[in-house]
Amino acid sequence: MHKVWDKLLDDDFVDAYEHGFIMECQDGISRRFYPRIFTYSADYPEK
Amino acid sequence: MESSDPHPQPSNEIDASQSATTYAETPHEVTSPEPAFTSAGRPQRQYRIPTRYNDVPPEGPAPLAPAPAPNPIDPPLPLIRRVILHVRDQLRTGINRFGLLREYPYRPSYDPDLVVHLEQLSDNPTLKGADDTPLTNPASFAPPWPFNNMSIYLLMEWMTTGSNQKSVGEVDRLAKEVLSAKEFNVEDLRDFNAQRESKRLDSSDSSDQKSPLMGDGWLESSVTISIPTGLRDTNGADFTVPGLHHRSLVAVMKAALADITSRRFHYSPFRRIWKRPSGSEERIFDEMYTSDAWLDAHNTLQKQRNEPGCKLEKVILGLLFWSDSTHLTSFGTASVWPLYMYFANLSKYFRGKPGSGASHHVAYIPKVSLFRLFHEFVHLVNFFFLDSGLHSRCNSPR
Repeated sequence: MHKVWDKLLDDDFVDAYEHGFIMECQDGISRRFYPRIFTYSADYPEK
Repeated sequence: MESSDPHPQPSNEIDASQSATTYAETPHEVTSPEPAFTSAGRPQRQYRIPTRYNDVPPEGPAPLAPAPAPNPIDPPLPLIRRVILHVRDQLRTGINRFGLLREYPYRPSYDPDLVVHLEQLSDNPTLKGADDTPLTNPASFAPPWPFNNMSIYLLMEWMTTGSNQKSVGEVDRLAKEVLSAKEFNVEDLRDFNAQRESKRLDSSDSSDQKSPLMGDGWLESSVTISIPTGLRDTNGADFTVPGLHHRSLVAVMKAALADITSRRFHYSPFRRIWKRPSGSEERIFDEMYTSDAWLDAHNTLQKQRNEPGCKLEKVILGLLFWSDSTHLTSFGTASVWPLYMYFANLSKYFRGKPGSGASHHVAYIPKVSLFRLFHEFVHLVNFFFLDSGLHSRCNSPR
């Protein structure tokens, strides 16, 4: 499971986490977004 | 729950339902100008619906005050060389009918609650309103895309929609919607190959597209895990699990922000405060973006140094993940293990609605079958026994 997260949290994500990414919003204003993980609830495959 | 009043009066202890009734209107109340009498000569009673049946219509938060004109900034003193000023433009909104107000530590640049209407706050089917904002995005590409012409498009659309079995209804649909359509031309289907056209459809969502709505396609990869062998002085054996399907998180975030649902995203956190009828205040915790965690994260982000040459507003994009096994059939054991991502910027009342399109699936985690794991394990153990020379010792000549 940790390896799966290793694949998901790729270099692009880490770069966006540190430096943000720019997107134009629906109101026409561009903002710099910083993704932050607030909750994570999971039931792992167990073996 | 804290009360900002240091000495709460006993009269403050009114529960929410009681205080709501003071705001409630009583539209069902019957008032007659003259007292009527029953046949028995008694004054007729005025019937009115009990207060608990009074349906108080929902109301969004009170709107923001208009932004004041920025004051001309005085030129800074030349002696002070480095001053980092964190301007906090605290702002309070008015109170709505339930006594709720919002307190923003920073002036928000966008108020998503302005686009929320009464019919979106309640599930009353009689309230069908003026602005019925569609929740899903309209198609971003015009029809024959990704096919070469309309004939192939119509035929492929027929194939991928409707029932997957040959039936009378499906053939009717084929004749009416495809074969007798104006755009349909048999000449277009000269070297038609359904398999090739299916592949074209699959590869249309590749990552080299310009639009942010594109390129959040699926990637397939495998993960390599290390399994302990139970033997000393070994680091475990590598075991590759294939079939992890996942999407790029950044691409999914970009697609979500380009989607029309993001009109309801809250970019500025705030505190929601309930003002009691007695005047004292109480903090209300209802959404992610009214939580202390978000306010702290937002504060830290504002203090973070700007990217070079960038003066854009810095906002938090809250991510919520969840994952659990999901059975796909009522009979049988087919199941998948998806990983979903939600955005905390969206109000939970929209996020939790079925069909709101707020959930994004980002990965399907492969499951390792017990049999396969056991098989591999036996294989590994054999391998290590062979390797450690035990096998050769067992087979050593007498």
